[in-house]
Amino acid sequence: MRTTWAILKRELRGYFGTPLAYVFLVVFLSLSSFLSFRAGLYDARDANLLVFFQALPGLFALLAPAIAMRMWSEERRTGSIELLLTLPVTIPQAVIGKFLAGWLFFGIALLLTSPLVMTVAYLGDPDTGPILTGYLGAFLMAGSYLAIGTFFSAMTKNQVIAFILASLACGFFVFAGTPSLLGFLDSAGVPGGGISFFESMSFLTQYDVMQRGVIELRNVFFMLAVSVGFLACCCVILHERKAS
Amino acid sequence: MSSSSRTILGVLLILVITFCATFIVSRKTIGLGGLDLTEAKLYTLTEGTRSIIDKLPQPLQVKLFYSKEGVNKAGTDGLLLEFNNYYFYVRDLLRAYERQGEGKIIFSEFDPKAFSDSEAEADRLKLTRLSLGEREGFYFGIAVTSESGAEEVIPFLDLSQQERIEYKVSEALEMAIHRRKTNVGLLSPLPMLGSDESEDFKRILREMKKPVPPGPWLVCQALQRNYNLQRVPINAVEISEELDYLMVVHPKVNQIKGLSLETMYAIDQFVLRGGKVMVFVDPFCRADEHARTENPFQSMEHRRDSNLERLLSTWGLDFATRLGEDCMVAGDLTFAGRIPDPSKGDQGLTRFPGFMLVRPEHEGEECINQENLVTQGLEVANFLIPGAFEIRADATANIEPLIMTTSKGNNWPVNTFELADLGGVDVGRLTNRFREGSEQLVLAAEITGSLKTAFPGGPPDPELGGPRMLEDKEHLSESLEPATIIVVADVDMITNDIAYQRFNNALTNNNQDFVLNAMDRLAGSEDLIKIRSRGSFRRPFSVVAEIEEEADRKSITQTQAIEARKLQIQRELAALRAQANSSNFGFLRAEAQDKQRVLESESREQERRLRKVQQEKTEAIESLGSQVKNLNMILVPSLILLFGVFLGFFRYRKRRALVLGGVS
Repeated sequence: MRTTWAILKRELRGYFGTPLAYVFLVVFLSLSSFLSFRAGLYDARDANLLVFFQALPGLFALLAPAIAMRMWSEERRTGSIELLLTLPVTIPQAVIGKFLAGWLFFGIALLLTSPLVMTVAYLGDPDTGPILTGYLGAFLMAGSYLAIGTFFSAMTKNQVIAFILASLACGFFVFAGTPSLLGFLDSAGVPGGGISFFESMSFLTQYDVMQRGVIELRNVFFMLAVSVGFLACCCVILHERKAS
Repeated sequence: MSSSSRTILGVLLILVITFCATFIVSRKTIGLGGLDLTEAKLYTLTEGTRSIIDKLPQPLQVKLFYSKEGVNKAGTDGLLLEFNNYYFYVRDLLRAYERQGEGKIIFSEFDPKAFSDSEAEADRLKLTRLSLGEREGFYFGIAVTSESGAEEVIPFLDLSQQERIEYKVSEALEMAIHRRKTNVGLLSPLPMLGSDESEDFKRILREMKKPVPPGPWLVCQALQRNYNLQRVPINAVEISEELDYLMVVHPKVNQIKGLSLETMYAIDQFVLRGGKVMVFVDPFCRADEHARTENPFQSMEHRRDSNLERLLSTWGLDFATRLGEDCMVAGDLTFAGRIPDPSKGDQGLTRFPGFMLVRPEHEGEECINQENLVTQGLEVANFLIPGAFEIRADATANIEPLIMTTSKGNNWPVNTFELADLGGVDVGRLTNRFREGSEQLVLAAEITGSLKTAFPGGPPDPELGGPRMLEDKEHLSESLEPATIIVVADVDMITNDIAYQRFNNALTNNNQDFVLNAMDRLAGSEDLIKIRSRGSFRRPFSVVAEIEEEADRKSITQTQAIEARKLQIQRELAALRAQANSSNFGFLRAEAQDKQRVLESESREQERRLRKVQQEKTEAIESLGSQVKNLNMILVPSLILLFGVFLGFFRYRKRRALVLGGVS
């Protein structure tokens, strides 16, 4: 636990020690606000953050890989992974430590969107329930995306390749539930069970009700399972690298 | 097997296990619902709905039609965005129905795009179509279809009706299963359904330029659109079991055209059989024109009050109509409307506490019950010379006030002759005996639960007069099924004069809505009645609403100023015309033309000011929007950037100092 905590601190310090964290935060805050207002956060004159939450799955699909791409690729490229793996640190501890640092960083980014909450609270009387569940869902979803990014980062030394592969994978998990894709699968003769399977793999489907103030066990389970699953895959890859 | 192959296999295995597990959990927990953290429990179905769904004898298809693509194409217009949000809410609510149904409700949604099958289906179901563009239509409705092919349609989901959505959907489910035309009996001495003369006879009267008897009251016309409204004779000795519910309006007991004991007994038994009733009584009904038309000499002495004292007291309410020769009128200065007052000249108006424009709330006191479906959402209910109900201490049924005065409301005795001549008497004299009270008065209430008969000794003695009671009916001494009764202490509130605008019959208040809501509620099953309003999922920007209200206030003031000025100049012009004769005609015409020009010029100026008010409103709203957008999109990210730069610079200085320190 202490080792994980030490890695977490080191990673987090690493984020804020470079301009990367600030650039990321600025891009995230500007883009999320821009997309929210463009989708009618003010024009709909309704005191809720629905459009903001709706923008997050797509936005995270680009930003989470950007945060995760350097986690292991950088270590592998510079060779510091050799040093890290010779320390008295197990691979799961290192993976979890790095992952938690990235997740915490996403938490900070989400916290910094609180001026949006203050804005709707000033303009009207928002329902706090959906805002809380929307943020909880966003945080869990960020964890899942980050785990996917971590996995691809462990696969390659090249950060750009890691970023592209992770973005594609995250994009797949976003668009798996879009009506157009499901319609295409239906017309292609995929049976109903297969379509439901596809739909259940989409973050759009899983995050949908959480934006509206409802927490369902299956949605929370999905996000946690995806995180754990991809982190486990990352551990398997790193084990193989260590062995070789 | 190589190490790489083992790794790939391991990764694939983990992913397969992960996604299969999520899929299985997703399927297994589909009926469990979730933790609804919304303030109004928006996604939790009420007990009534759950009961309706559980009792469904056959599966029902619920189809939601929403022109999603059309709305997205049409852009980000504020109203369309509101519809988008409402659509998401309705969709999630219907999914909750599906979950609760566990297979008995099959929910599907359709996007009726131009020339699509869904569009043809929406048109076949007669869903309301609004135009979104040249060809694109906007649909937002629900169709419920039973296995037997019965279809129940909600043609359009209006934003203003969102609090009632669950009620409407549940009602549609019930209607799809138990489809039957609802019969409403109307028992009243007043000509509410119009005269019995044929259209041909009325046409002849019109051609002969003779007065044509009036048609049905507007409120009855509104009811006839949804219900089968049937006249019940005023001397009926039995209320037909074919009637789903009964509307009793102005029951004048033992007077000319009044209710006999037998009729009262028939109502009593109808209620005990589980029949649902809406009763309108009044201490002074101005719409009771009987005296004026039939016997003008006795018109002033004719009593215009109505009561169902015997039944009301059994149901748990007291209703006093008279104090000696005076009428007991309920009034409230807080909601007092203005009526003509001859003592203030031709156009003089004075506030009269007996004419109330009741609002939902005043200084923290709820006056229109926002919890009950009958009155929830009503913004104003008008009453003219109403009475007030008192809830008896021995009331056994559940009595829920629907509309009340503020605690400053009070009963006060008013001379009946003066009330008969309202509008022609000094209003000040009418109100000078009014004193503010200390408790809210009940103007309308809902009585639910089990009741006892008002005729414990059995049917009234036929010797007292009237036709003999039907003998094959068993006398009921208490309710077979829980009763639902809505009582209102004013008859005038549903007349054309009070509920509608005089010239164009437009609605000026929510009186008609109140009656229609009450009928909907009575028509519904016990389960439907249990469905309470779930509150609005919309939370409009109050700051923007305040800006709009302020602008509207200014606009109204400006419009009133324009109208007043127009009226003044028109009067001056009329006066000039009256003075005109052959000698001063030319001079007066010039003066009239001058005044006309002044009027036109001033009207233009006022209209320009009006436009300016609207422009300022738009600018204020847009400016507020720009401020919040800039704050979030530019200011907050800039502050973080500045913080980063500052921190970087600080660290650079620190490093440099360390390096220099090391060198020296």
